[in-house]
Amino acid sequence: MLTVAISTSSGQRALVIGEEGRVLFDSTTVAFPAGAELVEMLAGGLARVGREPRAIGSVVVDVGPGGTSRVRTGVAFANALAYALDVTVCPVSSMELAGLDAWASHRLPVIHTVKSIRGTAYVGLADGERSRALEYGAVAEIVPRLASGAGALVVMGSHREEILRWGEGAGVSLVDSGRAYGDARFLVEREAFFATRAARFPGYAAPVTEQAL
Amino acid sequence: MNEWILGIETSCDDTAAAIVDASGTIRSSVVSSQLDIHNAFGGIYPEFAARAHVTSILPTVHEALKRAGITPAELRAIAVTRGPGLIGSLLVGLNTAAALGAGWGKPVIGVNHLRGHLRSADLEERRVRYPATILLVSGGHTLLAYTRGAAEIELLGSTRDDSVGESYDKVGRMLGAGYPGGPVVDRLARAGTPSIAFPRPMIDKGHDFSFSGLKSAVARYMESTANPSREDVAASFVAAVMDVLIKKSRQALERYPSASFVIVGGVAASPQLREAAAGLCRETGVELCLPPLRWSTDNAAMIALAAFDYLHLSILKPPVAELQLTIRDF
Repeated sequence: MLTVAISTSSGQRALVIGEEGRVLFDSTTVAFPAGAELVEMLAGGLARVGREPRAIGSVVVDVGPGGTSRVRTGVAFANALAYALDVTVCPVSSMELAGLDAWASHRLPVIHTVKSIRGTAYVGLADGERSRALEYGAVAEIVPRLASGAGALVVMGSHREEILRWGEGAGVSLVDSGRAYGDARFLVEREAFFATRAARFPGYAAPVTEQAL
Repeated sequence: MNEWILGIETSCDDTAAAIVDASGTIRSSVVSSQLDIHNAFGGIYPEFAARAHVTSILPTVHEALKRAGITPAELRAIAVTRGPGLIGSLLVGLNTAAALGAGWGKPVIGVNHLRGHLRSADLEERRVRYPATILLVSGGHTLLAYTRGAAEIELLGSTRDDSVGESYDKVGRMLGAGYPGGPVVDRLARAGTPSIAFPRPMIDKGHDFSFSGLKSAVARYMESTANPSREDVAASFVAAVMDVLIKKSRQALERYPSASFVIVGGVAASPQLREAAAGLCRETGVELCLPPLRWSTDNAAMIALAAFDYLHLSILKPPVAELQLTIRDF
């Protein structure tokens, strides 16, 4: 059965289709018209892999943190697709996605930041598929605490430069990922890591918000 | 041919789903209200509205299907509000509808919320006789339109600033009425005397409306008066609003021959407006058409019914948000 993975927390909307951990289609590598809707990406992807919607066996979705409307767009689509097909939907945070990506590239944990409002940010520490911490507040206050004793770290997200500067001063070994977000392909390739949280309706995926932290 | 449409409405603070046929027969209608969330803010908090839609939309759709006793395979299409409305709220409904359509293999039609309100008067039974003059008065919109048929609509005038429902809510907040303020303001007005000379903005200027000046006049009065009578303020505010709405409606009815005068939108629940409109229709000999109150506020049944017009005319708008729609747009 196919897995459909959706990530909309970053500026780039991604819909990835895979099977048994192999990526068959990645919308970010296809020239969709600017502003293409997720449903167009799904239809285009299924056509590309020559399968029907009923071949979808699971949905994985990036639940943020990220742009609030963007995240909701992806989560609402993922929940409804899973409901319509009576399959599971599996929530994965953008911090966990960053962790998978950093581990694949550097074999190191990642400190990931997502800018929020009024000088605050979401700050996460993820190690491979494991999310060690996710907090909301001032980067300057959270990062030193999370990084303390963590050893070498990859830095990803909206506050990379600020964190790298801090790392130099604090003598912390940091590696710049050069990236703002994790690659959505890992949602397909590492789906099995998160299988225990997959749920069928009435279960559903919910966006990460500051209210939930 | 399947005859049922699933309607989805998330343009503002209510999550709604309904199953309706082309005659306006409602098989089910479910509305999940967010009043408890927004009451504390004295108005709608858009970010929290969107968050609540995410959690409530699938249970609402599921319940609508369950109550209707039909399966998705029996649907002819899915209709969803594409605008105007709060963008964050709209996106939840639109993406939900798009994914349901993809999963079920059903067409999805993006419906103009304003056309939904206009069609709400024909839910459950055919009430509107054409040609008709329509007054849409809600928290988001205030307009007068003339329609020769369900699909042929001419905009006569609309508000240049606040909607009448928004003014009600803001005055309600000044009077400590909570949210939504409309019903409380109407109730207070019943007990008061319209003794304060609040302005009737633009009352003699065509069919357009303006309510921000009236709202500001109420605010100034409240600030400058020691121990103002809430009842008298409410009565004077409501009297000013009714004078404007009824005078402009009368001008429209006199200029555009109408078989019926239709009032839709949440403010159609106002007892004062209903009484004043009844008087106007008695004088002008036009039939007054008021949908039941449950169809006056935002609901998904009106979106589903409006979608039959789209199908009839083969206007299949995609489920993509459009915030600047007018009453003339499909």
